[in-house]
Amino acid sequence: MTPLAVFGLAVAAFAVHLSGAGVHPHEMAAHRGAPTRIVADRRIGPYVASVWTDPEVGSGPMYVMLEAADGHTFTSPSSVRVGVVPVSGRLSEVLHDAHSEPVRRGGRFMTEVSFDRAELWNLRVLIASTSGGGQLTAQVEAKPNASFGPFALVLSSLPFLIVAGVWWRAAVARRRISALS
Amino acid sequence: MTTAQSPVAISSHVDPAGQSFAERLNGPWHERSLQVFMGIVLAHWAEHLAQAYQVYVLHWPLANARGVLGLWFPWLVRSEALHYGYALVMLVGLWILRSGFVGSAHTWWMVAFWIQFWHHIEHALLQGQVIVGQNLFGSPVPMSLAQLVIPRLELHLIYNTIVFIPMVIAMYRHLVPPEAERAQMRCTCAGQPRLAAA
Repeated sequence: MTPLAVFGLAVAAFAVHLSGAGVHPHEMAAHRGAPTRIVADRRIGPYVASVWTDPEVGSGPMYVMLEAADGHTFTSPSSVRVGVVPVSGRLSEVLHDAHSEPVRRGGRFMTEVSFDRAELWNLRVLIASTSGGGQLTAQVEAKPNASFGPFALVLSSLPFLIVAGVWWRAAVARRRISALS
Repeated sequence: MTTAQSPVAISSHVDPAGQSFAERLNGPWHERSLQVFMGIVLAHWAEHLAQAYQVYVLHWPLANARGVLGLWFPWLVRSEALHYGYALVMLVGLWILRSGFVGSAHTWWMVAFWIQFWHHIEHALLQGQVIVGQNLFGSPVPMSLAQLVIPRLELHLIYNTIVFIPMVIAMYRHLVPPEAERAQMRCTCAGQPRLAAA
């Protein structure tokens, strides 16, 4: 494959990537950490709910995925709210309204929640709809937003030291070669 | 050493006349090409170093710590264009500069290439989920396979590290090659080869 063909393929791949990222900017967040499921298939009224979040300190996404429970037809809820409060009780509960996102089946509701400290939090999801509603509770542990911590500074510095070392070793070898030739 | 070539033989081998672009990139232009490539790699690491500095020394919130380019062009970081563009440059660079490497250096270089290739399979999986409109594993957002094991932003740093390590080993083996490998090299990366013993 010629360099020109490789370059053409790369430009095409980049264009496809940009088009996808432009349509769904938050969905292409390959480098922001993926959410994990903290509640799986829990029954709430006429729904079966799963909750996904990326529980890092700071602001993080909270997704409530809904499907119709057996014997029910899915009707979109009138409101989905997510409440978070530290288990320690040092803060009062904050409720967030989740907005609906387009999906092919069932419903997906998303909101941003804040965890100001790495600790255990109580989570409450409240669902209201014309065909019934309810709430579910769970607990989630917020984690530091970069688990490498200050070690990331060291890790990010290492490549420069390594390349400098290789460059120095190569320079020594080159001088030796020049002296011999 | 019987396989060593004379300076005359080397200089005629390195002469770009009659060579294709790919052959020049892996022959007389290999040294300069690798310098440019490594400059890009280090620029990317410099962005991560800047981000780490912003978070841990300047104590900026993570959302505001966008490195240097991200300060002026925030959309680059938000849209992932910078990350993906860099991953593409890495893949292209590793591929088109591969044949300049010989022996063990070539092996290590190709290890880096295949890891980067897998990194792209992961990106293709993410892209495919956006295009098809259906996410894997019932996730609310597109998921890659590695994210199942490491569902955090450190995955990006890990990928770059495990590509960088074999790449830098290859560079070392290429710049300071064993004599047998030096004799097979068509570029000037390791300096002028030693004169053959009379």
